[in-house]
Amino acid sequence: MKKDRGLRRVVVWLVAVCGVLLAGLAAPAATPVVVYSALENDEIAEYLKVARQDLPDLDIRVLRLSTGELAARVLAEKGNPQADVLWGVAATATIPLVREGILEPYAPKGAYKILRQFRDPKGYWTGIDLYVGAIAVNTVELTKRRLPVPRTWNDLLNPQYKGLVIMPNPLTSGTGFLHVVAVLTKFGEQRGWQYLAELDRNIAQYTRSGGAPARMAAQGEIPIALSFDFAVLSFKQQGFPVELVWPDGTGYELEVNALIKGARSPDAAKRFLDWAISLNAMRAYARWKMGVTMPGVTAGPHVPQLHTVPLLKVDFQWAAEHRQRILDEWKRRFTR
Amino acid sequence: MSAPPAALQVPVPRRWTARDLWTTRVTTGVLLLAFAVFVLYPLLEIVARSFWKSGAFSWEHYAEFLQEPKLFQTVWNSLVVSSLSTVLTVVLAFGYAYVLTHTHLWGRSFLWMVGLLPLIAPSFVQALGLIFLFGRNGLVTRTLLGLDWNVYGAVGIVLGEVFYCFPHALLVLYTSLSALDASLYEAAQSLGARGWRVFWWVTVPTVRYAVAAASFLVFNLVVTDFGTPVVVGGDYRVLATEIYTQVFGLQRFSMAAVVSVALLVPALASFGLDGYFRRKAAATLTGQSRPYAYSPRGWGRLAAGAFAWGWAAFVLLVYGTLAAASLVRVWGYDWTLTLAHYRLDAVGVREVLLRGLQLSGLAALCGALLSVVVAYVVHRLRPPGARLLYALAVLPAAVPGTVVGLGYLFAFNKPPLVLVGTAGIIVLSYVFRFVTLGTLAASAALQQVDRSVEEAAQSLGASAVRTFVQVVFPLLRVAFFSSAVYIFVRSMVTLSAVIFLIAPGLELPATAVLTLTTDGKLSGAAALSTLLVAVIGLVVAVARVVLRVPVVFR
Amino acid sequence: MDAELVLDGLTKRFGPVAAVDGVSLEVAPGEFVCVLGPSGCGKTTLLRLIAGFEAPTAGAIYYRGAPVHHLPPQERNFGIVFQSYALFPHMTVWDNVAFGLRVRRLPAVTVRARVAEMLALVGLEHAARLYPSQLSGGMQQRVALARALAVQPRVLLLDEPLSALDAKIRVRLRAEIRRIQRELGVTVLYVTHDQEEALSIADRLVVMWQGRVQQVGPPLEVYTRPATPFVADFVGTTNLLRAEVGEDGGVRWGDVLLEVAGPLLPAGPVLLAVRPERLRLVDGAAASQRNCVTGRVEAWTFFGPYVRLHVSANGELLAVDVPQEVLADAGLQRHAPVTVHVPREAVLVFPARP
Repeated sequence: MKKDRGLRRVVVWLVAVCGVLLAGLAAPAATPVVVYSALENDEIAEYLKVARQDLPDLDIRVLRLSTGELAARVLAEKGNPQADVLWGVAATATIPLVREGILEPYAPKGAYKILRQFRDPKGYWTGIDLYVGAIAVNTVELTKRRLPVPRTWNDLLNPQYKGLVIMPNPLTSGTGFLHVVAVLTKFGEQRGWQYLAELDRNIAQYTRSGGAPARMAAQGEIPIALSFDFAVLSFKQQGFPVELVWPDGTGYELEVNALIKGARSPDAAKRFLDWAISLNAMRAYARWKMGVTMPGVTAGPHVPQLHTVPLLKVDFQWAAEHRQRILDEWKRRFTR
Repeated sequence: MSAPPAALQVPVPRRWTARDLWTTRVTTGVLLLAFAVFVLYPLLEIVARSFWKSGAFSWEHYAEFLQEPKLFQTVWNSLVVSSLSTVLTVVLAFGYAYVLTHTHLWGRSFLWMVGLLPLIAPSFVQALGLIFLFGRNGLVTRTLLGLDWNVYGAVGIVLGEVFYCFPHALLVLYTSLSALDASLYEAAQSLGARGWRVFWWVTVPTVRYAVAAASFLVFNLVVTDFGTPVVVGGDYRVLATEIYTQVFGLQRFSMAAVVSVALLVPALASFGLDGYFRRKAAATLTGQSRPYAYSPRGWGRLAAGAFAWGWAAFVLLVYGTLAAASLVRVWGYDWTLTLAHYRLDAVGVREVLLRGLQLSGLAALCGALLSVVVAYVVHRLRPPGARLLYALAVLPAAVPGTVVGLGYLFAFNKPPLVLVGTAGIIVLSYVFRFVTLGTLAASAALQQVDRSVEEAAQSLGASAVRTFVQVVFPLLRVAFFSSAVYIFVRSMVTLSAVIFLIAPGLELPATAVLTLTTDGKLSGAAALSTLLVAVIGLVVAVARVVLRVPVVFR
Repeated sequence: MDAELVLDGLTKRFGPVAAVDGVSLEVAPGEFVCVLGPSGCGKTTLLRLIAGFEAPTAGAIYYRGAPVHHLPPQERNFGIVFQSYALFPHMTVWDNVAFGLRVRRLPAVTVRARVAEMLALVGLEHAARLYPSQLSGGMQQRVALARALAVQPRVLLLDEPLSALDAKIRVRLRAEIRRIQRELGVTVLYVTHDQEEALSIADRLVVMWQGRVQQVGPPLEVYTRPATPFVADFVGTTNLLRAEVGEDGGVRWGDVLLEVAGPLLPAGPVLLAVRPERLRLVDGAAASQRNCVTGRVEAWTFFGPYVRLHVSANGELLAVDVPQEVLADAGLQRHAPVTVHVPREAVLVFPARP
């Protein structure tokens, strides 16, 4: 009755609060599978709804990173891999990881359904979709400034666009690298670099993420943005005054999945990879992407048909092999 | 009468029982080990990496750093924005503090509160607000003035930093200015001094140390800040963000280590100078003083009022803009009201906020407890190694967050301690980064406690542990809770260290805001920031009302 | 009788300064010993050495013949009462008193009985549930006393326990402390700078100055026969006069030859100590008598029952206490000439300090 009640109460409270907070830290019952992905946050949210329905017993934890950051992270964690799975990462960024000994070959169930050219013969990676480079143009902003809509790569060099073009930084963004590869493919290496140097004069900012330029164009922050297909499309559908322009010689990239060597829960990881090329997954991808790697699954009704786009012939193997050299060169020339 | 034996050999006198000495040594050992592992080891890991090249000591990374002009430029950039922000912040904060302490201006307590408001907001929040005001689609720049000018770059960083650092400088300067005794002014005036002369003769000499301390404090804050430049810096590269770019953009870990060392130099120097001048300033403070205040007349009154209320209005405008931006469809384009931005499926608002509360709350309790224990061990038990322990407890405040993050990434991603990818490492980074202020607060509180209270307990037979638990800790309750609130707030708003440490399923509010920003979803970022500031404000308010805890900052 | 507490050459140095310098003392069981000295004389340090809060640089402390100076405070079982009360502010009076008993893990029944007993002893049964901040200073100090006594300490140490209190409460509480001490028969070491307090309360006085013991003895002895000029000056008020012992053995104060009692010192400078109340004003006619000095009244201080005259004589200022009616009767004026008689038995002679 005459105990020091105040203190005791405080101590009890503190212990209780600590306990509750710690309890929250304890791992949930479901098997965790850690996924690194370069897909857009909005896509991931949609796909995960499907995944959680199909794999209710897995605790799927996704970390969204831009392509460059993702590669850096995986390399940094080489001794102690944190991720089990790569999901939707540019092929050009994934292929170099094979040589680093970071990936484990695994052919997911049903891999035979995927077109042969979109999967690694040794099973290190499996492609799921294509995404396509695109220019987003804010028509209102251009009209306000009485400027024409750019249609071709060369149009972008118009000195009137100085400070009005934005593009992703290839060092961090897969989309940025896609565009650089497209330019180098279209113009050849030597002229390509020259072109990029001239384009650099018009660039207002190199963003870290590939989706950001589309958004900034949609919101009227900048009239012209190098971005990718569905980022621009989704804004157009939402009613923003933004137009999609395919430049003459449009670049594209294959997005692939892979298993990390030394994954902590390899079984769960494999089940996720199996799901990630299942029909359900492919149908979900197709609602966003212009092309998926499973024949027969067609893109959604509001997505333009892939054959209408003036696609370049991109050599992923070449781009992957020379990725580091291209990035180093770009960094040397254009880092601000 | 009993003659004591003449040459009795007795053991060395002790102030504590054998058991107390044992527990003290073990506690000190454990604390020293903990600080060595979570403060020193990551730093040494960085320094080691910066010198290590393929298994041997080498200066090559440094040579590379110096030879790469764009890289070296970041040092210059950092110094430029830090100096500019420092001058601007200190001038503004001095004026504000002067008006608050030396005039009878109406609504001073309100002005004081608004002036301190940015303390509970992450540094990038003001940067976001500035983007909505002065960005490419800014309310002021585009909508009102129709300009193409935008805030990204050095200008944006400086503006954002002035906002972010203003309350920190204000606290230091206010304390100093309010300690100026009225009799000094009256003496000067009775000697015939007027106006500016009084200012130069009385005010300036008394507060010069506080001004110096505030300057170095602000410099330290700016040069180490990550949130503002990453959001509003555009392509303008500074040291704090360069570490991040080197790691995640370029995968150059050794270079990131070199940049970290380059950042440590100005950070540690300004931190040390801040402390030096703060001690000097404290020495000039008199215990009791009668505040000096007058009612300026005419133009002076108008200017003082316009200045103070102008700044307060600007602060409110920035936060108001942020809240407004989270509620309209497209800022500057489509002003339809909507709650859509608060439905952030891709981020998972509720989980992220709850996780932030949980980890910060845990860090707050652990950190506050650690602070009080360290203060007791250092100031009262004083075992061998106490000074070292104190130094280690103060050091973290000097180390930039990005450097801590990189150090943790290096140090705890390999045996013997593999912690990267767990929530634990995030909590540990919070605890050991913000333990400094807690320790200082607990030390100050402990110095207020009459030592004979502990001695009374001791002479009644209480052990060191019992004395701590039953006597000292209850007396330091206020310090404990105010440290806990401080650590909580700082943990909620910090971005720099955890950006290196977040793992899947462990995204935090601050990192989610950054993700949204880099994705270009500024309205979503505004929504989450608004929620974050509201939640922190609520917690601070509850702490003040329920626990009656004064909230302290540095 | 065996000594309860023995201090043997106890020394404490803080750097070059010896705060306590070779203090030796024996305290008998149940004795009330007062350590008296001006602030900074080392008396508090002495107490802290005994309590165990400081480690001695040299010397030893024995309790009933066994050394204790190597023990930490927890193991000495010496109760201590501080000037600042040092109550635990977050505990009730009851919890404060029970603290030491709980530390000893006594059964709850015993604790309750003992706390009740102690509170009754200090007359605070009604305040058991109050917090220290709700009590007056005097009550707080009583709680501190009860807390220290509850654990039945071997020795009770009191460090200026009354200094923070009002004059009236001080007098009342000191009588109470004495009563409680007698009741319990506990050995007490009591530190104070207030000589009146020390004289009135102690069985024995220890007068300290500059870290050293100046004199040890019962209050009356210390007062009437101070061992050093410092003791004479510090305990009570004393006129210290510079004088000279001549080759003939006569004591010469200025041009006055004084007859003194007691053993004489060798020729050379000496200090004479005379208490003001021992001096008498005498008729001017008697000025030529032995041991009489003439001087002039420079000022006086009124003390109620008596008046202290400040008389300048022989180039020094002499304090002379006279009943206040004498002053009224004599109708003294400032600068009035007076004659002061110095009784031979009132004069103490000390060698002059070098």
